[in-house]
Amino acid sequence: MDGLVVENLSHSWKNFSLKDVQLSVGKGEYFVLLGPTGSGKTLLLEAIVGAYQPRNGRIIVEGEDVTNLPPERRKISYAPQNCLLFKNMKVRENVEYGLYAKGIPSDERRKTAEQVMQLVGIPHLAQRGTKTLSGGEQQRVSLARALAVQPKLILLDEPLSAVDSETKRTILEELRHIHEQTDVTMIHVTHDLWEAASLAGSIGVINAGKILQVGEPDVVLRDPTRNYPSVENIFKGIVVRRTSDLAEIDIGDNIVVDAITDRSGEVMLQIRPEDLIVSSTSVPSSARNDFPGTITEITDLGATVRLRIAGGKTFTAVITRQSFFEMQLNIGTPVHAICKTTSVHVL
Amino acid sequence: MLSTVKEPVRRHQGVSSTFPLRFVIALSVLSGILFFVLVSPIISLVANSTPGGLLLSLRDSQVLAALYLTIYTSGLTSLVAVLLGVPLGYLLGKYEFRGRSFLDSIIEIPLVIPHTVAGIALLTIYGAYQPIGSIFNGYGIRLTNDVIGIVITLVFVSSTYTVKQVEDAVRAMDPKYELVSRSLGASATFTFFRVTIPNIWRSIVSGAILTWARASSEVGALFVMSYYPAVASIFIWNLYAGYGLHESVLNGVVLSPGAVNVAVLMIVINLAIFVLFKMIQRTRGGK
Repeated sequence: MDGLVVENLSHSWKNFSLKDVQLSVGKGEYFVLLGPTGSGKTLLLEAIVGAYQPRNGRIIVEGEDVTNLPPERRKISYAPQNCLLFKNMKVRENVEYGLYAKGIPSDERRKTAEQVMQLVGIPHLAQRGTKTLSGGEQQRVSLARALAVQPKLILLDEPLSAVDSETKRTILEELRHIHEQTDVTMIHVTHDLWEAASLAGSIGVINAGKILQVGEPDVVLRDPTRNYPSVENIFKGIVVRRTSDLAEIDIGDNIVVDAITDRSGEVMLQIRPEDLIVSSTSVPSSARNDFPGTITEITDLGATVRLRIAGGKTFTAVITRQSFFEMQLNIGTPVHAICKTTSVHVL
Repeated sequence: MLSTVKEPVRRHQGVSSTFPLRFVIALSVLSGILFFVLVSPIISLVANSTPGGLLLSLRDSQVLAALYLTIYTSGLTSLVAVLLGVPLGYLLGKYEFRGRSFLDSIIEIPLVIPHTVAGIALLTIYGAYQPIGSIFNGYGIRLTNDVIGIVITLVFVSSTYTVKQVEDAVRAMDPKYELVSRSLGASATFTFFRVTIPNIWRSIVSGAILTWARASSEVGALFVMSYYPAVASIFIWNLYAGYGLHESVLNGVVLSPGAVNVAVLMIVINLAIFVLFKMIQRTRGGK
């Protein structure tokens, strides 16, 4: 059963329109809605949660048509961008709020809140006021508050936009963990490609009020079409062996990439095109990754040249114009794309 | 190295170097004139009162009754303004609808019409032989020259302050607070009382203070609508009209405790309530 189905949803607000939005998110899936600012992703989220009645279309949550239901009856928890914790309540009261509103007895409320706070890693904040919390702590409380009511669907609107990069990494990891533990369907809205690649089971790209593409992260993010910047050298893989922090990640087509990570299981990895060294021969060096292939495409970028190197997987490398001419490269030239393990970013 | 570190520019401390001194002096002189106009009557009023006269006023049962009536009716007015003004302010602040601007202008009318005109207008509807007044009169309830008449008058002239404060607060509040609450399973009513009201609480108190202050100072409309029983502002006028500014005692009989003395007591009470409300507002709203 699908966790969420949006059918032919259209709506206009001021000078902006959502146009015939079609979306299907599997039950228990972590779905990332990716789009630039002003693309309509928040408006779509607000339609799903019930902030307004769309002009056309239907919203179906786990088989139930909720289009005409008020927000409190949809079983969709909404965690907005700026958290909006209730300032007149302590952290515990924030987490218990939805249960209190539903008339759940206090001992049961407390028990559920404690479980959720434990899961999100905030039991030590229970008695704190919300005004003293850091951005990361506020995000955790917001998530705990959304989880406590055991919704069918959680909507996260740009949850990591206001936290520093270190906290962002931690929360990304926690979100992944929480999703694994709860298996609740999550829709995470962001404009950040890395966030999308790190978390998504699948990604929907939205722009100008239209869903342009839906698919697996490595496919969607590699696709340079449809008005959204592409991400080069992004692959889905499985950690197949590990020696301490050094992991061997099988990305398919008999290609194994060495990377430094403590992650296991399925991962996404990315190598910046500028970090790939192109060599005519396989040279002994400290770099552990050597991907042989053939040049299939050459793009002149001015001071640099972009090469597409196909060898099972296709890699993109950017080298200087001078190197390109010195190496006498051409379409069909066999080359090796080489990089260090530290240049492989496991998302 | 230290010499290369520039001292940060200090702004608005002392005389700014960007304005010539003469300009700043001119501004200060003009400001000083207004400050004198605002403060001098209050200082003069207090200076004109005497400890004996104040004591005389405090022992006068008519003075105490007028002061009590003022506190009571103004308080009641604030209560009515909150009970009815919060819903209206919320509707005007939250929803965009056709005619909203028109409604917004209507509730500001009491602020711009002369208060004797307001009194006449009220009399044409609440007077004993007028549309609403006659209905109540049939049940023996007078809407003029009674506490109820005073409160109706004061609600008319002062509740706009509460409505506007609430409206502005609702407009400034992120509507997603309510959406979050409802997505967590809370009904619209539950959300209103548990999320919206705590969010706009300080503005409700501010509105109530302004309404109270305005109500306690009303004279014009009350002259027409509810001259009796006399609230403090009317009582002070009566003393002044009858006996002048100061206390009047004849052969040991107190004819008047003095308009000046009662006015000082009125100011003290108003300031005390104003400070009390401000303290409540700060405690409830936090810093």
